[in-house]
Amino acid sequence: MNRGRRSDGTPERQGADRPSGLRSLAFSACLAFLLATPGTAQPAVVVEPVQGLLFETLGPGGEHIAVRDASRRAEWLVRGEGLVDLHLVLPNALENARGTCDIVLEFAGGDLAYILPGSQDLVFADPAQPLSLRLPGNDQSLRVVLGGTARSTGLELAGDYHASLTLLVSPSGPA
Amino acid sequence: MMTRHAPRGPKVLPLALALLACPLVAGLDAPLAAQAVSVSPTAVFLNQAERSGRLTLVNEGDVPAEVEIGFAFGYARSDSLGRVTVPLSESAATGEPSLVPYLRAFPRRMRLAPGQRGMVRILVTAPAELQDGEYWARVMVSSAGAQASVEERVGRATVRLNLRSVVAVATNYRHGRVETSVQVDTASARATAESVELLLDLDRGGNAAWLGRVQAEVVGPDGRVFGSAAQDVAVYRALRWGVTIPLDRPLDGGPFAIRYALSPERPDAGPGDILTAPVVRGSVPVG
Repeated sequence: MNRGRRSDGTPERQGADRPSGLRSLAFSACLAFLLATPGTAQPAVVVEPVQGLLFETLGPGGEHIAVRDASRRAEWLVRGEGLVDLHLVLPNALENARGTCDIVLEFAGGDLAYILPGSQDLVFADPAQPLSLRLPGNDQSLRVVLGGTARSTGLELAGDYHASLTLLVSPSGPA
Repeated sequence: MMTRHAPRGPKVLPLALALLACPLVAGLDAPLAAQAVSVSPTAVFLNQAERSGRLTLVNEGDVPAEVEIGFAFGYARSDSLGRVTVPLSESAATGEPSLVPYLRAFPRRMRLAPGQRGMVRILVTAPAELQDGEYWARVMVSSAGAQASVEERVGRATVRLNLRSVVAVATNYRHGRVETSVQVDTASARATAESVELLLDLDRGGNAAWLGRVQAEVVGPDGRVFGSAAQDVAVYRALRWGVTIPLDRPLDGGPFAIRYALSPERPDAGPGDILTAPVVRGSVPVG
């Protein structure tokens, strides 16, 4: 490290001629900036949920949303660089406030796909299996898309039903 | 509740499931107002002298995000085809060097407004008498949008599917004397039309993960290079690692071989993050 030294190696008297108030102000400003700014070399991962599954009609026959249906499939964007491990944690059912599950959710092989940056092609995968993919960096997004089926148990549906679709991203390249 | 996906047995991902229990609502209508939490760095290295680190979280989206911090045990493993995954569990099997019992995070929850930056401090509380070696965990940064969803009416029912994301940050703590090395047990290579696939069976020595880079190149009989590739790799225990080397030109003539080198260096690593170890070099004929 040569910080704080002149090119000839002697210690540099930074700001020695400035008033001490200004010096401490400059120091505080630098410190605040350093604390507020992450190191530019530090790799980051960003996961951005784009949309959930959009069911329109639920009945005993069920409703299937194909992973190709861009307007209704679930979708996340993942940005970063290097190898990542992707898991989906998916619900079996939509629950209501009483904890009963009148609407079953099913995710079959092929309901999961990803789209590489710059491509329109779906690469199909099994949502029950982890995916190992390389993120391209350069702020480009990998698109993870998910279809699925909702099927009611045949009871009359009323009330609020909810569930969570979770994408777990585990960088496996750096460590 | 609620998963049908437990590919590695019942202990897999229970933490993620526990995080799912938090009834945060992100919305259903397309498109959602985005909540996108950036997490950096993606790996944290701590030791006895430096027992705390920090994660920087930034809400890059345009709605508030609720963030929750948890811990899990896991490290990169591979299957017979060299596919690498990071199985995660709340508790580690006996004999595994889990850091989870000694990890703390402050704060455990936060709400980030759009554009807001937050800091999470990670602290290791390992006892001094802990056996020398490296201990592993993943810090799980779970986020979801904090705004109420737009509801979807289906008949008389209202359906809400929340979208959540979890980023698992590798956290390695080095206690006492640590050392590492890597060796190549077996290597094989086969050519396809546009690439050569190198498959390495790697084994780690010492008491810490070997973190480094595999560099490989396809060479002809006259030493000409037909393609090269470099990949970061983390060897926690035995690992089968595949490298695809794209070809710059077709393989004509022959025989061809792959020269490889495993070196403990990472261009983006901080000083001291990567443990020193001997560089391992070798070659394997292309089948």
